[in-house]
Amino acid sequence: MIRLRNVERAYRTGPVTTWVLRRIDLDVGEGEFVTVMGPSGSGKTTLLSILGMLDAAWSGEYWFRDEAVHALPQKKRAELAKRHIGFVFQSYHLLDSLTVAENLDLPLSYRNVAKAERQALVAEALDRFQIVGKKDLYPSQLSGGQQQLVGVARAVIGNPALLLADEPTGNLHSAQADEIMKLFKRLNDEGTTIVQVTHSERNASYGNRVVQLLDGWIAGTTEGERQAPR
Amino acid sequence: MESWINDLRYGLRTLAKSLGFTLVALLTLGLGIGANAAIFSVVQGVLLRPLPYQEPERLVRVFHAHAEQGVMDGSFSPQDFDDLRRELLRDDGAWERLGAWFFVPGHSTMTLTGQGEPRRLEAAMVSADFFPILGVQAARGRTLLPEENVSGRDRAVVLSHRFWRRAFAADPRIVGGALRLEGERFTVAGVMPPSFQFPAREVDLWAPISLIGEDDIPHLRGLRWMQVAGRLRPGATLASAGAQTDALLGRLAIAYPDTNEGWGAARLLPLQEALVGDVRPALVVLLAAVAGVLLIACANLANLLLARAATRGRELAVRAALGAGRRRLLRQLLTESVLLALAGGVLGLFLAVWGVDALVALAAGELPRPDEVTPDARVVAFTFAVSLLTGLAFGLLPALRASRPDLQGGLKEGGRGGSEGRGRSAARNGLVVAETALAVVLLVAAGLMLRSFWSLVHVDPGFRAENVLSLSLTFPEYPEPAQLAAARDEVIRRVGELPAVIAAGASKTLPLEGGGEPYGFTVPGRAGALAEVQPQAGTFIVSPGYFRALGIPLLAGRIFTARDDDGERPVVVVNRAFSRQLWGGEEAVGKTLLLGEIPLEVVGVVGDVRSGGLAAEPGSAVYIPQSLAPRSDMKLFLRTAADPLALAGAVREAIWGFDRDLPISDVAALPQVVAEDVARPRFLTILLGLFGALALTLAAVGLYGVVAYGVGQRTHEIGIRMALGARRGQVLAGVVAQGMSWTLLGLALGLAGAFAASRLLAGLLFGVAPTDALTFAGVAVVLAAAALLASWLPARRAASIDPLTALRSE
Repeated sequence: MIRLRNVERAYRTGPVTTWVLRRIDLDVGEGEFVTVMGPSGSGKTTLLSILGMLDAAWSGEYWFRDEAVHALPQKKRAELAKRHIGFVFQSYHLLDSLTVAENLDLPLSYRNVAKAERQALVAEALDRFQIVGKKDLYPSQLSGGQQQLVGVARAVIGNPALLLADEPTGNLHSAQADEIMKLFKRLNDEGTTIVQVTHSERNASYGNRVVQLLDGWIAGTTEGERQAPR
Repeated sequence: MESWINDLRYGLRTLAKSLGFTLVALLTLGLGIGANAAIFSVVQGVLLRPLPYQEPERLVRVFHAHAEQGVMDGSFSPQDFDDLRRELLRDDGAWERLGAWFFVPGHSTMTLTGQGEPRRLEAAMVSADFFPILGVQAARGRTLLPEENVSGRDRAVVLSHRFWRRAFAADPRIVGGALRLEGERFTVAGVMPPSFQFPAREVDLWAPISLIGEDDIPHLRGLRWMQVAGRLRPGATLASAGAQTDALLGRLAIAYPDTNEGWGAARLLPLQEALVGDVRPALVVLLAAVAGVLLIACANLANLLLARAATRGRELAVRAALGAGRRRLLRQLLTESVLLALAGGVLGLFLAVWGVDALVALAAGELPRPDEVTPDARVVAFTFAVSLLTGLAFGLLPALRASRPDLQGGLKEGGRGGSEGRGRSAARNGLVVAETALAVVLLVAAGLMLRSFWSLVHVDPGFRAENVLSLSLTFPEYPEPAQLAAARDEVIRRVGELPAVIAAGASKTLPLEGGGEPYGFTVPGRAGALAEVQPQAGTFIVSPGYFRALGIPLLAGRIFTARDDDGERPVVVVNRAFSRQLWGGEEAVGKTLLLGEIPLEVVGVVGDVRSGGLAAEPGSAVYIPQSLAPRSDMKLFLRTAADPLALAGAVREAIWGFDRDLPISDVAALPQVVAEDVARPRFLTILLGLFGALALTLAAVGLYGVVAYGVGQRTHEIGIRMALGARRGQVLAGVVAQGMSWTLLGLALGLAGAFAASRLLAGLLFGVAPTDALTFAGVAVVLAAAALLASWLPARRAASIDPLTALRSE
């Protein structure tokens, strides 16, 4: 699904160039659950932003399902991301002024999905994630775990092929974190490709491969049997 | 459509959430848009709304012009008017109808008796074609019939709606009934609709012009007193009508050289233009001023939105990450600003409805067509359009910037969209510079008007108005002129003997309203053009006590005595300007002038009076005793030892003690009459002052906002500086210096702009140059002081930052 070749990313501050990612070669197959790990500042979040097509200032090649992302103009990249990619953020990033249902509706409305279909999809997501009773509440009225549940529901409501998650459980206590990771595993089992960034070994154990980053370089890849913690 | 509704709903919710911002924005917008709506109501009612007559675009006012004498708004003599009608109303001509009237407020009056106190009514004397030209029917009864405009059969009048309601409590039975006017019985033919106020709002009734006999105004070709208007044929142009009229007047000038030489042209104006033309410059200035205020408000709001966009970085980044394209974000943001502007527009409309009444009251009768100044559908449409434009104007720049959110920064843990980029802060500073510059232009305009008004009210009018009571009197028609003279003298004598009265005098007109007779004099011993002289201000017919009552100083010789009034040895008094014009430095007293065949000896020279109004330079003038030209209309002036109005009752009693049927009107203290002369400049000065103050406040608030926001953004930096040993004073000075640098740039730009724009005001100014250095300097000082305060307040907060707290909070 994803093929990165020689991808690099740098920030320029005056005459000084700071490299964030160096010569990244990475392949992610359909249906994989990949975890990106590494110390702070190693370039994890930047890599995720490039995968999610939120960052455009990189060099190298990025193939997404045989589409040469590096050759696409920004507008086309945004279209592609809108169709195929969903995001889950560490701090949920729900919009405070919208209700749960409206937050779920938002990505669909940006994809110009017809109203009736959107209503059906929102209802289905509410049902699937068991948050029907919360649909008219505002984010501030929910617990952290519930907010992230909505965040995940929002990320997958458009049925994306790729789900990108940046520290999805960073702000949750362990029981809530396990709930979310089980949910990810279920989605992965149902066919969604997942790339997550995390510091947590426990979370990493839900995936089937770990990519280690260090100072912007890929320091190693651990292939392994998927081993869900009990 | 549905996504629009969503945008709208989210917009409403966002605005409701940040209530403080929304309220400040609404108030700013309400004031800005409200001021525009109110002034536009006036412009619409006065300048734009078509006259309430049939096909008003075909109505034309006709003036008789004499280019060499500078007369552009002259009237026609009855003979010239008859020739116009006879020659121009042909089937192939441009004119369909021509009508005439005579109306001079305060001078074309009819006395109503038999209905309580005798009253002087303002009467417009109109020709047979007057009503048909305008195409207006009576609301009750009918207008005047052609056969009622014939001497001897002209005993019918039409009442104005206002007078009908005021005097007869809108009693419908008055139509067809009778009134006693000028001692004779007149039939009330009809009552006009409330909207009909032509030629002036003051008109109480319309009467046939045939009532003006030879005795009232001599019907001579050289005496021009008929005001004329006409209706063009469909398709005819002003130019073709003008050409035909000029051709005829040219022929008349050749045919009657004695009276018509130089009078060979007409000046045609669309009737609406003629009615309202002279307030146009003032209204245009006001409209420009309120537009400036609104632009400043827009700059302020744009700045607020830019600041808010910085705090909404996360929300916009999330929306973008979820698939919102730039256009979609732009639409969402613009929906919010337009929504805000429309709400401000609604508030503004309410303010305008209230403000328009205040405006009309403030204008104190100086606005033509005041009754038509009401916010109507066009005003609502204008307000809606202005609100929409305003929303786009202040929303576009912030929306364009915010619709490119910093995705990575915005989505980072704890990220709020990052700190403000250099481009965004440059935009904010640029807006402050722009609004400061605009405020300077407005303040200079207000300052100039204030200085002009100050000059105007402090100019020496040439007489002393304090402690003078003035009133109007109309004597009946006596069989013999001597009876009128006796009645007049007796009235002046009686009121002059009242205990508190120091001096009593009379003339035909009030001292600032012009109205001098256009008499021409011959100077014996001179030949050709030098021999003929017509005083610029005219000739005034006055009683002996006139000069003392008004405090007009005697400079040489003597003023009139009671003996001069008998007319046996006719004498005149001239003013200084006339004396200088005719005799230079020579002694005027003892010289002789000829009025026709009558020799008049100059017995005195008095000071110049600004008879054309305070703003007009005093012209040369001649005063002649009442006996030379008896007038039944009279203004009485009483100099009193105490409050003049306290004397009004006793004066009335004294006059009615002589004749119970004498109508007394316009009883007022003379200073009040003088104040009315400056009503229009006062109106403009007050409004421009208000808008200038509003502009200054908005600009100062805008600067405060930018500096305060900057301080907020720099809390951490200031904390570090202070931790490193910066003193409070240094921090304070640094922040103030930054605020002042933007202000000084705006000030410089504004002064340059004001220098260019103030020329537009030139025609409205009195006694002050449009580039008056004192005004410019004063505005610079006021604005700099306001900016200093606006920068100092946030600077003080910056200087009190606790370095430890500031560094911890990051």
